[in-house]
Amino acid sequence: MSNKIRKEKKTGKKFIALIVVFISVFCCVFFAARGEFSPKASSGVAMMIISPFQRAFSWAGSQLAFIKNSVRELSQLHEQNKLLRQEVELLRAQNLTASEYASENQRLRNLLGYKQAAVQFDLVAASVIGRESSSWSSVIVINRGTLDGVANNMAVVTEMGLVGHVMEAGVNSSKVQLLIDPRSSVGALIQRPESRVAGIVEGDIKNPGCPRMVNIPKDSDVQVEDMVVTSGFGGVYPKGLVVGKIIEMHNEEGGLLKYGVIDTSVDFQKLEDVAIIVASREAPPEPIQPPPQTPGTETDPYETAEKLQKAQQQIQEAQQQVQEAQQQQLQEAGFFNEELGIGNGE
Amino acid sequence: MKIIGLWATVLVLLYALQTSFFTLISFDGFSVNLMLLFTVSVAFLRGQEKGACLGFMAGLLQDVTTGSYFGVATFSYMTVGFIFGKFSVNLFRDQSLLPVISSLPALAIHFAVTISFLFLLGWQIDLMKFLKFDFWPAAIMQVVFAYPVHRLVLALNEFSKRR
Repeated sequence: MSNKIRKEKKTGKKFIALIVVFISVFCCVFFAARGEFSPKASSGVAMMIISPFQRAFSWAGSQLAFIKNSVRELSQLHEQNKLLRQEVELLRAQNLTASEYASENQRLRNLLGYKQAAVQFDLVAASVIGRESSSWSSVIVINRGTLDGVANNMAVVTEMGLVGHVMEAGVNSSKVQLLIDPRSSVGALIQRPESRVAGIVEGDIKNPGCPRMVNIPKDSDVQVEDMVVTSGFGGVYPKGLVVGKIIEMHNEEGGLLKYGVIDTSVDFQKLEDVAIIVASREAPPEPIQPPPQTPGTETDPYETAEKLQKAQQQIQEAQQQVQEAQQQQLQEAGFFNEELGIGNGE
Repeated sequence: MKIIGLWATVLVLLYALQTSFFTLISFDGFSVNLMLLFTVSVAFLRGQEKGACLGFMAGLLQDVTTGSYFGVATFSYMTVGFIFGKFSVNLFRDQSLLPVISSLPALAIHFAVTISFLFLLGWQIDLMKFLKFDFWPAAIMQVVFAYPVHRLVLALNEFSKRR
């Protein structure tokens, strides 16, 4: 029906009319550009005809644009939400890592502080990498071994006190038997100067968290709240390491001895970083501290010492001057000469 | 007379649609030029005289309402209608692909005429920038809407013939 070639005859008149129109329009453009031609009336009429349709279409268009923008916003919000969720997850992970680092930093600071304070010990820091805990055994695994200078029977400590000893040193890891292990026994004594009662601290299978100090004579003055430190007997544990404090005292079944339940200074449940004592020596003497002074009359001991030295020097100088003056007076009196003369004459 | 009124109404409606609806849902500021597509389709189906005539009407409508320089759109659409009407003799009428493809050269001619006028009026235009940032986005819009407009014109044409 419509698949046939369209053929039209052109008439010369129409073609000429078209050319005239083209030229007219062409001229119109330049007249309008110069401001010499302005179709204000026709523009008003055209706008009047078109504007109702434009208004209707604008309304429809604005509704559609609103929907389009809403969809776009929703899409953006979805994307934004996804990104924010990812960011939150990332920040949470970073926060967790930062908290972990802060905690580790604190622990290592404490350990470093202890290492600097305990100058009599050579310490090797280690992290707990494994734990075996049952009613009959309390053993941890640390990440230091013989390559780091660790050997069997070395004492393991934290800044809080004694942890245990190395029971099996591997090449790059070691097993540490904790103080609370029932098989463990540590020579200990009461730190209080008036007491100094010696005993043995051993793990209690019935109460795994609290070891006992046994072999305490019944007539000893061991009290609750007494601090227990290592005695140094046996050679495994250096003397003076804090074990814990007595929280209960009980009589042994035999009736001659008693034992104390110890609250350990180390929290064995939160053990993460420890130090191994690879070498120990006698602690250097404490520097002499000036005696306590009466409030309100405090003086600087160093300044006083300097003053005393100066005063002594002045006294010595004065004594020397007095001696010289005496000699001079004796010479003036001729005592020396006479004496000499007498002497010489004699 | 009724047929002319129908064509005029469609022209006005399309123009209103172009200047209101499609500007609101434009893509990056580019909206479709329905007047140009309408002119091309009419020119293909009705020949160069009718094409130029409809181009004249469409351009005039645009110049009268929103044109910055009166006559530029009129001249441009007339030229497009005249040129594309020339091909109507050798075309199958229900061939839809050709008007779709032709929307691109039609847009090129329209831009060329407009730029020529602007150049003659003393405007400085960077052609490369224009091609890069103005022509291709507008061309995509033209291609997308060319087929529906052509179907509309085809339906109108059939209706006019029956009456």
